Amino acid sequence: MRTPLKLAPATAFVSTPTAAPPRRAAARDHAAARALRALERGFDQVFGAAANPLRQLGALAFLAFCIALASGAYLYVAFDTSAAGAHRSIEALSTGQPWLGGIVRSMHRYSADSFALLTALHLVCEWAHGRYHGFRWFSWFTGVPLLLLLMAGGMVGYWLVADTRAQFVATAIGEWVGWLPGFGAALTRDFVTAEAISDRLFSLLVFLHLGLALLLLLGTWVHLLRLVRPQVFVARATAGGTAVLLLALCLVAPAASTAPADFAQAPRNLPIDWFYLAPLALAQATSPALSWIAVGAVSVVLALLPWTRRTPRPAPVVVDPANCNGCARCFADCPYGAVVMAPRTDARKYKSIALVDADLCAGCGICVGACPSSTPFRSSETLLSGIDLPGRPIDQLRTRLNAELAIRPGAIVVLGCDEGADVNAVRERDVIPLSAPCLAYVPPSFAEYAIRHGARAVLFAGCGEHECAFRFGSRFTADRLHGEREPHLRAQARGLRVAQVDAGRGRQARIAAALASLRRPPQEQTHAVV
Amino acid sequence: MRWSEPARYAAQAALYAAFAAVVGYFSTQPAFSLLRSNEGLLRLSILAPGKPRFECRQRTPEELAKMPPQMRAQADCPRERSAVHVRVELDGVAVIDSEFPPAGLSRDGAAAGYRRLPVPGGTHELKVQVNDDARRSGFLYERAERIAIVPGQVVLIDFNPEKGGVLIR
Repeated sequence: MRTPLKLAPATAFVSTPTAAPPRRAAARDHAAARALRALERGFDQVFGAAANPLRQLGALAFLAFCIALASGAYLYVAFDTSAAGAHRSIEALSTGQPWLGGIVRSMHRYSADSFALLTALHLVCEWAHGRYHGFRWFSWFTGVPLLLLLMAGGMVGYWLVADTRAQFVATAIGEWVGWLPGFGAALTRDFVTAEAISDRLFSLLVFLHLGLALLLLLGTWVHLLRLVRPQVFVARATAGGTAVLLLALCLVAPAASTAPADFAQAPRNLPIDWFYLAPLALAQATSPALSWIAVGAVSVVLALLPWTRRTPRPAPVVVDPANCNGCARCFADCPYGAVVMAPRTDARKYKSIALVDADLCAGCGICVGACPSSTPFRSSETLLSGIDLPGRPIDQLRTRLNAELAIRPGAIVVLGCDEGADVNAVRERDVIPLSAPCLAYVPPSFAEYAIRHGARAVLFAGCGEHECAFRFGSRFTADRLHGEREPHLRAQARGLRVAQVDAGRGRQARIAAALASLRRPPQEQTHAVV
Repeated sequence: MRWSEPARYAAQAALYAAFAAVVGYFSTQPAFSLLRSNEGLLRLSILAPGKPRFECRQRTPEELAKMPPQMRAQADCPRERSAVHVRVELDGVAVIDSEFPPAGLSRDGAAAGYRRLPVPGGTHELKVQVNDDARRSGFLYERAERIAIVPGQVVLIDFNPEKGGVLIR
């Protein structure tokens, strides 16, 4: 249950000492994450980051699902739901209209298989990146039932073809489900003789297959509920590549039925689809109990995974009513929908006020960077923002910046991200490294402020658009610096030496290269200055 | 390292092809066989109500008098049915000897049973015995056959008292 929304007192934002706060990301970079990151970056070289399939596995799985739905609609039109006609009608598609029906049928098969494989890869990658606990628990947890729906949908789909593979599926499901208490051997009996299979069964199976697909669609919507603007569509190049590969597969190895079901014969050397039918094969080769234990154990372990890590959750942002003018920029920028706008009921002239749902808050601070009250040019001794991170108040950043600039005037200020390259690793005599929870936590006005207070240049070093731990940090920063998103860098500040570099975790060399460029005369710089 | 455009496209094609190969292969391979090449399958599947487990009892006139008029049935027949006991011998060896209980909370439903047993191909002596009445000892139904099983063949053992008892198909 969500905790009630609360307004925090303004005293929560007073800054504490100027020592650099510890980077959040430092302790949780395990071997799997490093290996996956290296693989993703390798793929970036080949595909380009925007079209990298590894960076959009969830959206790719959804694309495969959509292709399966579309091709399934065509198959549904041609499918004969009688026990005698089911096999014949599917075969007629392959033999009677090989260039349309055959390809559509194969596309249905291979898109469904791709859906299963991409979903599994998506799961493994999200796990390796550590995106399964804390505020992300909901998305992870709601993804687990989708795996079961996916598997069940695939099994029923193979049953519809009424060939020997369908016979295997029917008897195996009968034995598998029949093992469960409440079903029993009576269910199994319905699938071991030809006379037990009726026309009505195939009508039921069609609706079951469609129903599971619709449930999957509904479940996907729930799975994405806590993401604002989730990425459900892949890059055009990736979609094109996927379509070409599926089409090639359909032409090289068209999907085919096996012989019509014959309950007097036990199917042998059966070409089964391991993406969907592996639990049935396991049940047949060992026992239904073992297969249920395997499926149940995997499901339970996956479902409970978010609660196996005891990493402290960063404190959620809090709203200071005295400094909130209801502009709704924090609401517009929050990647997780944790900020909502509510009517204002106090004596202030503003119509609305931001409210934070602490359960949804990632503690990234992107809303802090969006708040107009976060500008360091404000004359108050303590910088009080309308929305702020209690553990990392924006005033602390201004205080540290002022203190560092007093010691090293003329230095280059590097504003980094806890989740990205370690800016402290590039500390040099003429560099002031400052790390934030997320790059977009830093309002663009900090760049102008730093230069007006003695900095030579300012470098924003974030994870990069495609590696951003909080989805929009690097993109929003770039948009703000280029005047395409509020709060933007003032036009008067555009001539100042402000640059941005994508430097994901471990990529300190990119920051060093950007610094080297900023040290050169303007005409020799290789890094774009805003 | 920066890749040339042709190298990038070649690598993309190779990676997409690798993905397609994985999808294409596991879509049908490796082939699955429940049986070895020389085996057939003996399958027992029954769904039959056993006989009542207890005899009906005649109510006494005193008992009937105490009952509401519309419920004064002479016989008091307990609902519970017998479990169905099935014994299957193959070449003189008992391969299945199971009792399948009646379904339902009052144990008054049909007994359902399922067993699957791979058997080597060839000729076998098959004997099936069934008792569906707990009030009587021994087996009430029996059928013995010499069966020739060819590899891959399924022999189904069923039980239906109305069709003569044990059925071998």
